Amino acid sequence: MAAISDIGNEFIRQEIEEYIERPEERARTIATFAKARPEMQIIAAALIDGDNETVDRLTREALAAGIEALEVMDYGLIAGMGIVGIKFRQNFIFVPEVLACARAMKAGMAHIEPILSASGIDPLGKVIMGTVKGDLHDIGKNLCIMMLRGAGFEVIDLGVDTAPDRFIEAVEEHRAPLMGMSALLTTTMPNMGKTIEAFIDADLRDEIKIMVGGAPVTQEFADDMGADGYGKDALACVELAKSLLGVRAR
Amino acid sequence: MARTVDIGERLELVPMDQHCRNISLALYRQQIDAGSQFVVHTYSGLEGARQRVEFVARAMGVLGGMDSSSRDPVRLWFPCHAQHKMAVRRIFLEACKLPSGETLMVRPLTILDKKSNRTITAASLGNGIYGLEADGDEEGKAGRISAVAGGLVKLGEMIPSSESAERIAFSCGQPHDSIIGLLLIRALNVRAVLREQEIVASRGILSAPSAQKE
Amino acid sequence: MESRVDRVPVMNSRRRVLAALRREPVDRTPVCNPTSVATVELMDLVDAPFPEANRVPELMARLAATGYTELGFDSIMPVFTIIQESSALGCKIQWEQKDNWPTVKMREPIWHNVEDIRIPSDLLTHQDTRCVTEAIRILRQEFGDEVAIIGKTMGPWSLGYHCFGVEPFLLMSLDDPGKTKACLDRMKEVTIQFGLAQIEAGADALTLPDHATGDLVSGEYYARYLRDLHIEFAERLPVPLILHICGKTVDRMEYIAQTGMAAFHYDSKNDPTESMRIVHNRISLVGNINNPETLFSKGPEQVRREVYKNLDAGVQLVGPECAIPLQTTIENLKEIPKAVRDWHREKQ
Repeated sequence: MAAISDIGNEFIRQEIEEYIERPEERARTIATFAKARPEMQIIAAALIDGDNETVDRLTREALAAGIEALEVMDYGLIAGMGIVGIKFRQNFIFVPEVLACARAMKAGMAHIEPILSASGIDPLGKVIMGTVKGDLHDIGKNLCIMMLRGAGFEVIDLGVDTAPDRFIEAVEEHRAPLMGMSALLTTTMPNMGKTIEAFIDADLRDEIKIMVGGAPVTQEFADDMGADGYGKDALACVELAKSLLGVRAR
Repeated sequence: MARTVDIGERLELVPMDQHCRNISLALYRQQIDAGSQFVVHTYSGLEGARQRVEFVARAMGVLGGMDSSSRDPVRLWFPCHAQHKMAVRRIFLEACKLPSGETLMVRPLTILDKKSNRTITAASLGNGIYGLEADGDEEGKAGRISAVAGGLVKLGEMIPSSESAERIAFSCGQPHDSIIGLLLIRALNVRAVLREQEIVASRGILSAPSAQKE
Repeated sequence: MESRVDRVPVMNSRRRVLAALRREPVDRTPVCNPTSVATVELMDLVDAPFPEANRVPELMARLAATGYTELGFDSIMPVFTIIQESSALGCKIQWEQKDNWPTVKMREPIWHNVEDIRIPSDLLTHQDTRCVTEAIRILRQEFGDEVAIIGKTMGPWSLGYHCFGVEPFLLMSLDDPGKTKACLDRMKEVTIQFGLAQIEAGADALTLPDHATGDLVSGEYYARYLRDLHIEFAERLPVPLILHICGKTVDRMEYIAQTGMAAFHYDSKNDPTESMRIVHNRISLVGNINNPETLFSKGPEQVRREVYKNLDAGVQLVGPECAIPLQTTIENLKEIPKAVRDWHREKQ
């Protein structure tokens, strides 16, 4: 079993020691970084620090040096974002910091995505994502989309203020097996239920798995609305997507 | 001087009725000596509001097999006088979907289930008991019937039979064909039931390490 | 905590609210709404639907008055939404329909830099700000000094979200604190001007939403960026101010209590007893009945429980935690003043 001393990067070691408390998460994070080559650990450290310029430069350099795009993504960007997600969940950092890290991830992914698209690797699945009708907030949704794409899903982003009909059209057009709805306002949360009703009325409910999330949303609410799953943050969203589609991690 | 009225417990609300100038329509429940009564109500005083409320009540009567009085056509009750809270909310919502003047028809006790490509039929066996049947191959039939029965249990607050997964009953002991017909389409899609079934089905099954959750 | 209601003569709603905001003795705890208690049923009752009720003074006044005449609250707060100033500043607004809230299209920001911030000469005569001042005038004329009329003026942090976009504004706060402070300093004049206009129109108090919520930013952020501004608002706006911040805020209540504002409108994510302990009688608390799970989804019994929890903790004004869902039942809303009266009766 990997030990924290197997991780060469001091910053990463400190982040794990200081911020990751749950034993299984700690073990998983240590195992990931112990496998990561030093260049990847530096990219992850820069991402955790919200340093988008360094992530941008180091990603380009790594790819130019012949390191596989998937390796850079998994062991540099996603591994770093994993620690960010845990720190956010535990309230060690807040949304501004997460946005800075997401910006850094985006900078790295800008170099990675074209390579992955060209390589013909099959996505894990298609996911339609949107914020519900009447809600113009999208920070959470955008974080989830970034993590889903990073995890290998093909995501169709419907944006904000998405009416039930638009969700239905998108599911039909893209033949997506999974859909995610986000709401940040308690006043728009009921539109999740309305959207699910619309799928039932259109006799499409069986064709789609529906997950929901957003700051005010709860498991209880998701169950009442008839959703298939509830994700309380971006990391949980990815796990939920995998679970609902029955896919294993890459 | 207050003009809101105490008309009981509000069970359901349609905030904007697309068929009548976006008025809100609400269903309230009142408890009287004989049991539960329901009132369709709007606070809107716009022209046509009263007629719309009366149509919705009439539609509920047909779709849900409910009775009403000619003196107070917006007041309804089930012949059994029971609450049937979840069912009456569904009846109200379905009634509100209909434009005024639409021909009203009771929903049949048969439905095509796309998921399993079977026709599912509910038969009234007396005393509020219903038996579900499905055509097609035996393989998977019992599971699907059980799922639909579970959906009706949840949506109609029905009681599952301890003897047969294909039988369910209304606690009032009275038949409600109209409710069953109305709920069947939704019973095919009740996620919580389907999830429970998946969990039960997966218990006790040894998973290969590669198939287990990380 | 003892309620300071012994031997206080019967007050009217307005006096009751103002006394509670000053933490003076009251005949009973006021039921107060620093945020909207409009519902679609009330809109139908007085034929004043959204979105028009946010743009036409007579409709705004008519709908707002139902909080007092129908629900039995001790205050009337006509500014249902949070978009009036942003609309006047030039933000694009999505007006929605009757069953939804107008919102600012924050993905189409109007400002990117400090230099972009401009307060237009028609800030107070724009349709959406003028609607508020006119509605307050109408209400004051109709109700005299019978009921507390509470206006609303958005704080600079919230204006920053609207005008810069939430993500850009939050990133700016991390990347360039100096620029952020400069922006806040310019935008605060909107808060002051709109607030003064409402006071001149007859507002007894002002709700001041400034959404540095715990769900987005740390308590330290509040101290760094907003506390001093809020102290300044308390000095420059000559009526009781009710600060409103949604979400988890116990980690910043100590700072909020130092601002000199009259009250803090707090969210159900914060425990009443703990909140009262932290603010330690330096600021009144208003709240904190849960909206989505209690007022919207449950019944009068649960509403009553939360009212009692607040009263037992000594919270000075009771009300919903934030603008209520538009489909909230009238029954649940009426339960609030009923529960307050019953609690006081039980204590006597």
